[in-house]
Amino acid sequence: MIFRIAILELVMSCLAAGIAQAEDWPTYRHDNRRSAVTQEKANVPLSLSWVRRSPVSPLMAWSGPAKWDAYSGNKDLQSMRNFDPAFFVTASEGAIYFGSSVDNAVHCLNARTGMERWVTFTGGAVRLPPTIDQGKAYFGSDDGYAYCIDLKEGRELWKFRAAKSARLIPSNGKLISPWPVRSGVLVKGSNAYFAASLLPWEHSYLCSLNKDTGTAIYVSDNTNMTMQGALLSSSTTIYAPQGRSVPLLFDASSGKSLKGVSGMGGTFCLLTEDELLVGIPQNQKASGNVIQIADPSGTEAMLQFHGADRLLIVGEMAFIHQGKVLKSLNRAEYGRLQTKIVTLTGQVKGMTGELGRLRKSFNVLPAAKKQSEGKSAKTKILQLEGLMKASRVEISTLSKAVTKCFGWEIRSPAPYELIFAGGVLFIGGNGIVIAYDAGTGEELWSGNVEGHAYGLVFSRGRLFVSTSRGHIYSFSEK
Amino acid sequence: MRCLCSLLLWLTVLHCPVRGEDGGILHDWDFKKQEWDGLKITDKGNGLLAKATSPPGFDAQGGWVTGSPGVIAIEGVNPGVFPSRNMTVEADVVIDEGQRWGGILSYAQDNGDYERGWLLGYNETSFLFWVSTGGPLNQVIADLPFEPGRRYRVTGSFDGLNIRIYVDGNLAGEARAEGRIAYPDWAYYAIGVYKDKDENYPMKGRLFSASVFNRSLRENEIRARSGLPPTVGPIKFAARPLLRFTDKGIARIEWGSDVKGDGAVAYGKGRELGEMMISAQSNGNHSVSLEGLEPAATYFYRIIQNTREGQRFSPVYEFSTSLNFSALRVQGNQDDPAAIQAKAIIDRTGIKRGYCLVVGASNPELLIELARMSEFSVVAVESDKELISSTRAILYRKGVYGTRVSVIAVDDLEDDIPITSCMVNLLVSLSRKEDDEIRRVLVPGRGRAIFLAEGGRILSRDRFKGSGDWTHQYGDAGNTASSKDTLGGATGTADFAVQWVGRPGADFGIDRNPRMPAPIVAGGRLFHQGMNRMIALDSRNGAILWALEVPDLRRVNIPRDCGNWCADNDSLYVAVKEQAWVLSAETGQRREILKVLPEEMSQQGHEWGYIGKIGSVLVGSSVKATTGYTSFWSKKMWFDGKGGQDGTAQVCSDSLFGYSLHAGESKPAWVYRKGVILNSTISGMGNRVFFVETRNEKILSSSGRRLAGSELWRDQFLVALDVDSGNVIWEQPLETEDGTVAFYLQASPEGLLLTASNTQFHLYSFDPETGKPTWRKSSAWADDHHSGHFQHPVITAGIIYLQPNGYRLKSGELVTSKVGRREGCHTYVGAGGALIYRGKSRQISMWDRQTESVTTWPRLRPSCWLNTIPASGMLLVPEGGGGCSCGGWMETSIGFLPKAYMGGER
Repeated sequence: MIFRIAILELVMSCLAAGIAQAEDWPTYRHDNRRSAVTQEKANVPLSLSWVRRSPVSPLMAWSGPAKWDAYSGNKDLQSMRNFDPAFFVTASEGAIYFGSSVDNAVHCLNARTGMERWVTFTGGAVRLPPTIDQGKAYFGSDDGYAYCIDLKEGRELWKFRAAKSARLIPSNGKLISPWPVRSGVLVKGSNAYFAASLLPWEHSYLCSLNKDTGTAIYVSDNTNMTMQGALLSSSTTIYAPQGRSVPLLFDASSGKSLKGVSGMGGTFCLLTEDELLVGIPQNQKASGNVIQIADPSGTEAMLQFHGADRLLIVGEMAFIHQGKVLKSLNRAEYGRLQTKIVTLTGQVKGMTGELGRLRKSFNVLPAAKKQSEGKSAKTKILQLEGLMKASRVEISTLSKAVTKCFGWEIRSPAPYELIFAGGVLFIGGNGIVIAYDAGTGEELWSGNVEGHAYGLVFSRGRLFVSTSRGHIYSFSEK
Repeated sequence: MRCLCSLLLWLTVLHCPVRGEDGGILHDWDFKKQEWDGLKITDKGNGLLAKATSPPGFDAQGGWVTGSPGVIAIEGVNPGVFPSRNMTVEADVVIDEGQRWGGILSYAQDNGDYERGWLLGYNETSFLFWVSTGGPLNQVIADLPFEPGRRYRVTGSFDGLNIRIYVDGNLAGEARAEGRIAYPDWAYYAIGVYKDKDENYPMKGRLFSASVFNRSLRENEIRARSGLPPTVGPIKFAARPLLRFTDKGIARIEWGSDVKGDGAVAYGKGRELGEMMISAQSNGNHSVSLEGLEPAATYFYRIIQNTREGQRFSPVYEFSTSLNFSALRVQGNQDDPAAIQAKAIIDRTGIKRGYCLVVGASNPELLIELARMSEFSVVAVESDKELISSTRAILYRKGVYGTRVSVIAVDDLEDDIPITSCMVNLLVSLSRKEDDEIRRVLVPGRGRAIFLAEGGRILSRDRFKGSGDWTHQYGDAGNTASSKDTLGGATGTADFAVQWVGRPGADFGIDRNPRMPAPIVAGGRLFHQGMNRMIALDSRNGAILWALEVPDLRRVNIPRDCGNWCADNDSLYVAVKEQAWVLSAETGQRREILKVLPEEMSQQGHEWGYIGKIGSVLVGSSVKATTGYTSFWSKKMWFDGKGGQDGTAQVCSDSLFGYSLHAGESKPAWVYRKGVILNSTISGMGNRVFFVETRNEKILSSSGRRLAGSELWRDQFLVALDVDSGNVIWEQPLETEDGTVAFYLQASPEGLLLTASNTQFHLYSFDPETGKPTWRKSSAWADDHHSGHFQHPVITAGIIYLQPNGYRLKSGELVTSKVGRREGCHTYVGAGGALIYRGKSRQISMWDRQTESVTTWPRLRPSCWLNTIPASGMLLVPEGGGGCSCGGWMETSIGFLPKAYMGGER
């Protein structure tokens, strides 16, 4: 029943999406919550329009994770800092934009033909795509600057460096600022936000600028941080991933550092409408991949999905790849039930301890006192036993209900990216992109690419795929 | 010459498979469906009856599906049934999921320190075989991981001297293991399960057959049982193989064979090794290039050598193109005047690696040609905005912008250059004259500036006064664990600025745990080892000068052995099995191969142990093959024991010898052979080499050289040799506490220091001129874990530091008991006025010797032994902490420059 209602809602949203206008994809993973969800409906099948091939794969800021933790016997460690494995794309009004870690530039291509319209160079690698807003593009560079350029010619309108020092240091054959901008630039209201950060023993800056003039509203000076990966935002809060440490929360209006999200890490993060943060664990101790959901105001992860590579949230629904299967999930109900199970399990644990203590006290009573003083203890024991039994029954019932939260389930290759376009799920795999019907899990279409498809964007009838080889593919509706 | 035929086709031209002998079979289990009688099955060797714990199920290929509860654990089998010395265990098996405790076939107990019997099994990644000979178990792990779901024939053999594991007939690992098999009083005869008194871990997989032989099968028999043609023995390398990436998608493999004839490399992304490259060089020196390699992919390969007797095979090796650091090739026009100019610049300065800074971007062709003729990262600075735009556009169109050449904007071409100090290898000035700013950015020592407007005048920058090297495992041949580097007076973390950051990263190394050889630094170059690989970086800017994949390069547990390399300004000397390679420090080209003593090689299979450059002599020691530690998987391979456990036994040598580096001889100038030498004590100073050896008869007559018994500490002598002649200068009988946890010798002008650790540290000082004892002390361990009980003392400025104390080496006088507290396993190193170690919150810390205060770098983690190197006027931390999955460590290589050296930098 639970799942049927959710599916109905999904179908309704798909129908709504069917009449939705063509949409831009103006920032990394579509919006400031990095939802990777567009209401524009994808009409599959698609066909390949053009490919922009890169002679060189992206020059990532960090090398891959250790091959294993030999001491602990863990292998397949998750990569914590892979925020730039492809030339991610943003799309707006017939053009696409991407930053390059190879040629230190931002490129604008004609979305229909793939022809380059202009290229604007910086002094360092550009690791995340520009954010498009009101005829302007905003992005950061390893040279330590945040930039604003016009969309017509790529002409520089302003640039801003947070650190006082212009010093550049060598890094992997290039020069970088010790305060590189590897957070992208997030535009919200009239402000542009970015982080300039690299080393925990140096200063790190979270900046808010007037997006039109590039003048500083604040430059929040912090220590013991390594902000990297795309910033996220809710209405009041800026979220800054740190890679190999916990994501940080800042008050958007003042730049004041609020707290870290305990137990979380990595640079893959998305923020749900109900302000839950989805990401990976803080450490790599677990063998294999884990995706988890945390309430940033809490102290620990609420939900963990072991073996999961990617998770996408569309309203109450979630789509998750776990092990070798892609499945749909009523995540709101699942979360509610799991929270209850965790609470009840905790209560049972507490009652078990209490019961042990009561039984011990009762057992050591002299026989003569067992009748008198022991009476109330025995009553308590019986009450507790009854409560525990009831709780266990409830846990069992809830556990059965949890299984009903899952909808369809299909075998699917491991995704490097997962997006939703008006009722169609696209996954980016190794050498392949596949479209599924979000309502049924039915495979609708697939296209081949070279490399791992880390970046997917759907905008104005076109699917843009960015791969680990540095190639960008455009597939269009037939 | 590229050959598209498969390896199999190439092989079948020369050989037909033959069957091996089947004699000596003790148990022969066939798990096909028709062999079962309900739950029961009988071995075809001796009729032993076994009963499964549940009705057997079978997969499509007929394999018995094992797992909970379907396993066999036979009780009541007397251990006397099994062989006591020579045995072979074999299984035809599929593992569906690796696990920490994986058993295929065993008769074993593994309960804490009580380890008895034998086991053919697997862990999370690899097959393994172990036997007990009474002490800690002798384990060999296959050198490549298995693929879950794939069918293998796995064979473990033991002959009383060596233990080996074969996968599909190919040798996949071997180790020294001497003695008779020690059995427990009882054990389960377990099939498809890891089961003993305490453990019960069913195997998730399938078994087709399993056999136990009461003899050690010969290699060709094992190959034949796997359907492989016979081999005439393992390939014999005159030059052990190395792999070098030469361009994106291209790897060149070089090796030398001891016989003339064709060689080949079979390779592929899978173990099938479906592609092959033939090397037709007739002189035995082979080189093939593998082209079209995919980025970020793992490849496997093996070398095949044709001989008159047949084919010889190397083990299967592995490499990853993720670690291809080669510079992207640049297309240019060699007839362009810019090409002529660039060639003249490079020829005149003699520099072609690292960073090239061009002041002025008016000649984009020159920038391109400089990149084409070198391995430089070329950076131009320019103030003219139009020129910046046009040059960038040209470079972009040529496909070199950002990868090999870039342009950065400056306000004024004659003013500040916004790059860190001391980082430019070659500065090309189009018009700017020499000034402080140009001198500031040049690499001290090796950096050059050329002024084109002044007829190509060349400026060099002197090496920093007070700049030191770290040429051996513990800094110098004397093992002082300190460098002569003053670090510009820096004694705290705030005295440094980050100079460079980047690769190699965590994917380069083995793991932080197995106590790897230290990086070394000489002549402004930093050398670092990873997982069977090495890399050379420019100390001042982190530029990768070269990198080599060396399958036979691995040594761990250095506290119980010695380092496997050393360096001087021109050369890197690396011990690789029975060879020592002399590599060009600048290019990594193999200039020369020296061999460990030929007569010992032929008789007992010796490898090169100690390697050190003392005076002008390359000193080596010979160690019996497979004595050194190479395993790194599991907690045990952290080697943090307190004595008596596996991992604290000392690696010892049978001889010491010296090659004169001036003479160019192919044989050592001298050989010393008397006792059994403890590798961790070999140290040099001036023209002397010092060491401790035991002349105990029992040790001398024993066949093993990884030693831990009480006899090791008897009949010891402290010996000093003249390094030029090998003559004994003096020797003194030695009476010390047993060094059951660690045993180190250090040489410094103020004295020789011997440290024995058992339940506490015992320090002994000797006069280096006579070997006479001068004083002794004992001090408690600071901790009994994380190396606290075997930290290596530091000798700097005439003082010995061993946490928490400092003693004057000359007199033994206590000068401090407040050495900064270590909180992790990296040992201390000394430089200038500080000690560097893993301190507060397990981060890299500095202890100021003067003020005794501590500062730290947050989230910077060193390796579990020694990877923090004060040299080249810098503090260098090539990545060594990777693999620790429990913390938010930075996991990057990094170089720190003392702020005192930053000159007028703003």
